[in-house]
Parts: sequence; structure tokens; C-alpha cells
Amino acid sequence: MNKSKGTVIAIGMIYGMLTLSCFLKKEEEYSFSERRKLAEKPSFSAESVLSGSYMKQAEEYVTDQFPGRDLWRGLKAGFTLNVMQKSDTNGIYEKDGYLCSMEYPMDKDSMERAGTIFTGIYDKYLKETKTNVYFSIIPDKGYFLSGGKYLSMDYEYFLKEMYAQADFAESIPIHELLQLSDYYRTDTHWKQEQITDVAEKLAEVMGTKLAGEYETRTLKIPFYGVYYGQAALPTAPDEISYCTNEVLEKCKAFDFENNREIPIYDISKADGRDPYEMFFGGNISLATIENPSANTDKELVVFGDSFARSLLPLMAEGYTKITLIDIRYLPSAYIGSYMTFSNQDVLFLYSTSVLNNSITLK
Amino acid sequence: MVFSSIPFLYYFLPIVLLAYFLIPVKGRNAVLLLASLIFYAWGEPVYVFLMLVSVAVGYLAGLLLGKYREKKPGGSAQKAILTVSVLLFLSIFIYFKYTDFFISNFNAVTGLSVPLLQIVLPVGISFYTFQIISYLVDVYRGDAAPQKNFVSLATYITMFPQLIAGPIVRYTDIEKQMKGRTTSFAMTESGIFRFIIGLSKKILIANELGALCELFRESGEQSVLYYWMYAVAFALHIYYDFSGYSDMAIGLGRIFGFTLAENFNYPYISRSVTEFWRRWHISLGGWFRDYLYIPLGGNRVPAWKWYRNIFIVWMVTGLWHGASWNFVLWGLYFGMLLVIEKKWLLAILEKGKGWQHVYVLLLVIISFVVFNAADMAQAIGDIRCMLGMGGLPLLSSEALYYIRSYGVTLIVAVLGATPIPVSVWRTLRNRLQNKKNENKVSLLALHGLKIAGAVFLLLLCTAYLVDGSFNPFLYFRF
Repeated sequence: MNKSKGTVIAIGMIYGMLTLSCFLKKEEEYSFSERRKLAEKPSFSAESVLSGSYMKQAEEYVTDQFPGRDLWRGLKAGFTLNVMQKSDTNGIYEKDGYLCSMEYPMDKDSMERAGTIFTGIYDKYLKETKTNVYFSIIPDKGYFLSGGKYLSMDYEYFLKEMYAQADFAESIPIHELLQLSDYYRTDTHWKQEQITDVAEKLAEVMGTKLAGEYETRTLKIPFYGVYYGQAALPTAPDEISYCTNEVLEKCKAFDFENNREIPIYDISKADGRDPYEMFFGGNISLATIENPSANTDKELVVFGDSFARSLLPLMAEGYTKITLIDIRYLPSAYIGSYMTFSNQDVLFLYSTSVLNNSITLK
Repeated sequence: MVFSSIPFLYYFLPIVLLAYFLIPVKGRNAVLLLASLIFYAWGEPVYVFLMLVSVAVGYLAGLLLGKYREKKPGGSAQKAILTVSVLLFLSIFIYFKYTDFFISNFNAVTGLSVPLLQIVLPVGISFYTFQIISYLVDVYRGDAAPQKNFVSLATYITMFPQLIAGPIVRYTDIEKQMKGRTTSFAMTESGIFRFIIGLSKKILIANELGALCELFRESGEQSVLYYWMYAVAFALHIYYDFSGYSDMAIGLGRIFGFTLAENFNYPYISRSVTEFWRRWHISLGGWFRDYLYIPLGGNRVPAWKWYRNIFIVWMVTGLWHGASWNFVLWGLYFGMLLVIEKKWLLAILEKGKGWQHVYVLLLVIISFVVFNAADMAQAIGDIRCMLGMGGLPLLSSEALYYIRSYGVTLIVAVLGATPIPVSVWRTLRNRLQNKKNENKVSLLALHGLKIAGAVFLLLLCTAYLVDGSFNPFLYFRF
């Protein structure tokens, strides 16, 4: 066999196998690593063909359904970072074993927007009541990892400006209590078992004392966080744990969006698409925790994002009722239909990531 | 459909290859034609009919031109047919490409507000229109015989490897290959390698640099350094994007048994702007030379006419790239540089000892900043900022970050734009092939390395495509 024939056959066989695998591969509905639905087979019609939508959808479909999708994405990420020496892949970088999204640039319009929404909530629902209003900002991992090689916003300026935007509230800085190890390596969130001191600090400023004694239970399910899928790097999974005690076990949680009682920790969700959803109902707009063994009649209302979901169970001990309102899902204009504000403690608790991308707040 | 996509690589191409090589030789043009129509219709489901009508008109006009040439070469009937058909094709081309440009200029001059027609430009019209015109002119001149087989002519015009982004293939170059061509393992092998190199240039370098240019445009933290980084990145991006596409077209052509002309020859190593244009988009330069510059009289006319010819050709070259004044300025800029070089500079440039490369690169980089601007205001603004006249700081953390992050990509791109990698490879191979000291095992290992490299690049490109990277083709808009 001559050299050229050998080359054509060798490359042709590899190419043929890849092609064949595309034709033989079974359709998948969901990508767990990317946490998204994969494109579905488009329906064929004269209209969709003439408008070009069929072709566009078909391209998305075959790209999404390519066999071994995660493997290919990993190859690209590895090559990009290790051979081409790019500092990040899809905006995610790895430093000290932690995957982190570059929160950059600082979006002053977004900060202002968030401030306007919070002020609007205060003016509409809280100003004329006896509520005590607080504001606390959770730094993302970039706060600890930034500097040197990576692009990052000026967090000190961000925190100062953002607290100033909500000058109607007493600010409770918690960033000094946090460190990198308080966060998951592969996810954006903090670990519940690491933030009992944050819960105590918040409670203390709001005039409540927490005993803060918990049993930490670690699940035997590997936790691949949101950055794991975005970066597509071969990173070891995190462990996911939750804190419980007698008081918490007696507490009742309720999901007003779906009008049903929910567990404070839904272990079945830990094995689902987003394991972090196991905390306090996951992504729902309005939920409460009621503590029948509370020694106080104090109530807490929290306007918060997903970080609040793991924090609030730790504060349940200090309140008879905690309400979480997520204005990413429940527009602030409608809150009055569900809530009456009188003398509760009200806490605005948001992460820097949400505040810097406040388009999600309604 | 684009070459650098999963549907093309793993669905369309393998099916076409299978059909092409399984079918008897006689039917191969028909397979290519059908494949080309599907390929085009995938991106332009409506305009495929426009292309088919253009081909049919070109076919009939070619037959008529041939018929009247037999009676009286260059006679009035032949002239009339050529004039009418060329005007028809140019009218279609101008309608789709320039109507809104004319309306917006009319509005600007008169102060009226005639609504724009928002006409969508059919992909590849700039390429296939020029191919049809060149065919008709060649038949008129007697340089080519009229193609009596509709399938053969349609295959030539619509052939998918070069249909939507060139190179502009002359009918005279491909006439014999349309009638009969041979495929061989050697040719297929070289086509495969060339295609994979083009694919890699496009996906691994051009797309990355394109993403860098987008990051620059979206940035709120610009600096003089950032502007220069953008300018260099864009000059490399457009080279890798377009030459990568040409490599893929030439590679596919070889696989199907065609020898398509080269379109790029390391333009960034040129020592004059004149040389740059001999190495950049060769097929377009050749087309304008043969079908516009020479018919205008070329350089065999009085000096003022010669300058006029140069400026006409370069203004049209600019306009061919886009219906906007910055493209006109871009073309005239090169026209002016070429006149200056021909008149005074070429002799000095030829004696230069390296600085001419800096001269060419600087002028070309600035030209592409104008080329890529959204409008004249942005073009002027970009150049002012590059020259430090935009009130921007010299450095910014974002510029430094991206220079670091894309440093290897930029270095690879710069090296790859020179003949150095090819010459290193050839030197290595030649040493091993030295007759006195032939080392068969090493040669075999070298060949194995080449195959492994090609496979690795193909897999890597697939990985980038699966990850859904940034992937537009610049020359599709022309």
C-alpha cells in the first residue's frame, strides 16, 4: 500500500467512525454538566425550511447531540488553558483549586438598578411600618481570588457604593467573616456548614441570639457545581453537606408558589439537576420556615437570592417565622398581594453576582 | 451552511463524499451540483432560486455569445449580448448589495427620508456573479468555448467548496476539469491535509481572535494599547478567517479532483503594498485586473488615465467588499498607496533591509481598522485612539489581561502567517530524505506524525465546534 493510500484510509476510518457515531447516537434531553435542556429535533415543514428556522434548529440539534459532548468540551477547555495558555475558559478560571467566574466589569448601571428596586420596595412596603431594615452583601469567590492575573472589579468600591445605594437600611458587612474555603470549589455558592458565624452575626445585629449548634450531615452524592459545567474542566466534585438540629427538625417549610409544604432540606434534589436546590425549596419565589419551638415572636422577612436558601435554616432558631421573597421570580410590584409588613426584621441579602447583573431582579 | 460546523463536517460532507465516489464518473458533476444546491439552500432557502436563474441566464447568454462569435467575432450582436447580460448580472448584484447604500446617501444629500428597503444580501452573490461575468467575457473573447452542458456550467458556478467565499474560480482554469478529472489517493491526501489546516486556521485561530476583537468592542476600559492589540488581532483574524476558508475550498476541491488556484501567499511578509496585493485575495485582484483594469486601458495609456484606472479599480474593489463609505475609503487608500509606490517608492523599498516589512504591516493594519469599522466616524475614531489622540490612557488592566490571555494565540498566529513553519517542516523532511543518508524509519515516523497531527487538529476543531464557539465567516457578508 502506498503512503497516500494509507493516509487516506487511516484518516478516513477515524472520520468515518466519528460520522457513524453521530448517526447512531441516541438523543439526550438534558445536559447535567451544563445544566440545560439540549436542543430537540426540529419539525420539518415547508414553512420552517423556507424561513431558514429548520436549518438553524437542526444545526443546534446536531451540535448539542454530538456523541461524547462533555468529553469534547473538556478537550477544548484543557487545550485552551494548558496549551494556548488562556487565562480563562468561557469566562471561568481556576485558581487554588477553585473554579471562579470573572465578575467583571463592574456594572454601575446594574448597581443603580438594584438600588432603585430596593428603594422602591422600601418606599412602597416598609417606610410607613415599624420594620427594622437591614442590608447585607455576599461577596462572590472573585473577592478572594482576584488580583494579579485575573480581571476583577474593585470589590471594596462595589460594596461601599452598593451599601450607599440602600441608605434606608442598616448595613451588616459580612465579607470579613468569609474566606475562600467557605465556598464550594466548583460552584458559585457558599457551604452551609461554613457560614454559621455569618448567621450569628446577622442575628446579633438584628437583636437575636443563636446557639448555632448543629450536626453536619454530608451526602454521599458528588456535587458538580455550576462552574464545573461551564468550565468543562476535569475537576473533582465537591461534597455537599447540610446542618440540622432538633429545632430545625421541628420546623415547617412552606412553598407559596406551589402551595405545598416542603422539606427544609430536600435530599432527593441533591441528586438532581442542581444539587444546591436541596436547600429550602430551591428556586421558588416565596417560601416560609415556621419554628414552633421559638422562644420569641420575632419574624424575619428576607429579600434574597439562592445564597439565602442555605443561610436561612441556620437563622430559624431565632425567629418564629422566616419568609424568603425572591424577586427574581416574584416581581416586587406584586409583593403586597402576599405579604403584610408591620414590625418584622427585614433583610436584603444579595450576592455581588446578582447585584452586578441585576437585570434578573424584577 | 459553513464548513466549520458539525452539520457540514459530520453529516453533509460524508454523505456527499460517499455519493461522489460511489457513483460512476459520468454522474459526478450532477452529484456535485445537487450537493451544491443543497449546501446553498441550507443557508439561503429562497435565494437558491435566484442563483439558479442566474446560472440559466448565464448558460443561455454563453450559448448565444458562442453562436454569434462563430458568425462574427466581436460583432455587434455579440457585443449587445455581452452588454445586456453583464448589465443584467451587475444590476441584480447592485440591487441586492447597494440599494440601501444609495438610498441612505440620497437621503443624506437631499435631507429626505426615503425608507430603506432592508434588502438581505444573498450569501455568495459577490462571488458567483463575478464567476458568471468572467465566463461570459471569456466566451466573448474566445478564451473559452461556450459550455453546452448545463450541468457542467451550473456545477462550475455553484460548486460548494468555493461558492460562498471564493476563491473566484475562472472558467478557463477549470474548463477541462469540468469535462474530465482524475482523483488519486495522493490528491485526496493532500486535499485532506489542506482542508484540516484551513479548518484549524479558522476555528483555532480566526475565531479566537474574532472573539478577542468582540471583547475589545464591548469593553468599557479601552486604552491606546488595547486599540493596537485590537488592530493587530483583527488583521490576523481576517487573514486566518479568509485564508482558512480558501484552504478548505482548495482542499475540498482536491478531494473532488479539482485544482483550484491559490488565493493567499503569506501576504504579511510583503515588502511593499504592491507585493501585498499580489499575495492577498489573489483571485479577486486577478479578476479586477483582467476584467476591469486592462479593459480600461491598464497602464498603456497617458499617465492621468493610468491614475484614473487605478483609482477606479480600487474604488470598485473597496465597494465590492461592502456598501459603505469606509470600504470606499479603504479601496482608495490602497489605490493611493499603489500609485505612490509605483511612482516613487518601489525602487527604495526593494533596497530596504527589513524596515519595509514594518512599513507594509503598519499600513495594512491601519487599513483593516478602517475596513472593520461600522462607519466612517468609527474608523476615524479608532485611528485617532491608536495614535493617542482619543484621550485614553496608554495601558489598561483589561488590555494587559487579554494580551496575556491571548498571547500564545497571537504568537502562533504571527508565526503561522509566515512561511517559517512550512519551511521548518520541509527542511526536516529534506534532511531525512537526503539520498546519501536516507532514514526510512525516521521518514515514516515523520509521516506518522503528520497524520497524527492532522487527526488531532480535526478532533480539536470538533471539540471547539461542540463547545459552540464564536464562529462567523467574515467573507460571507461580501
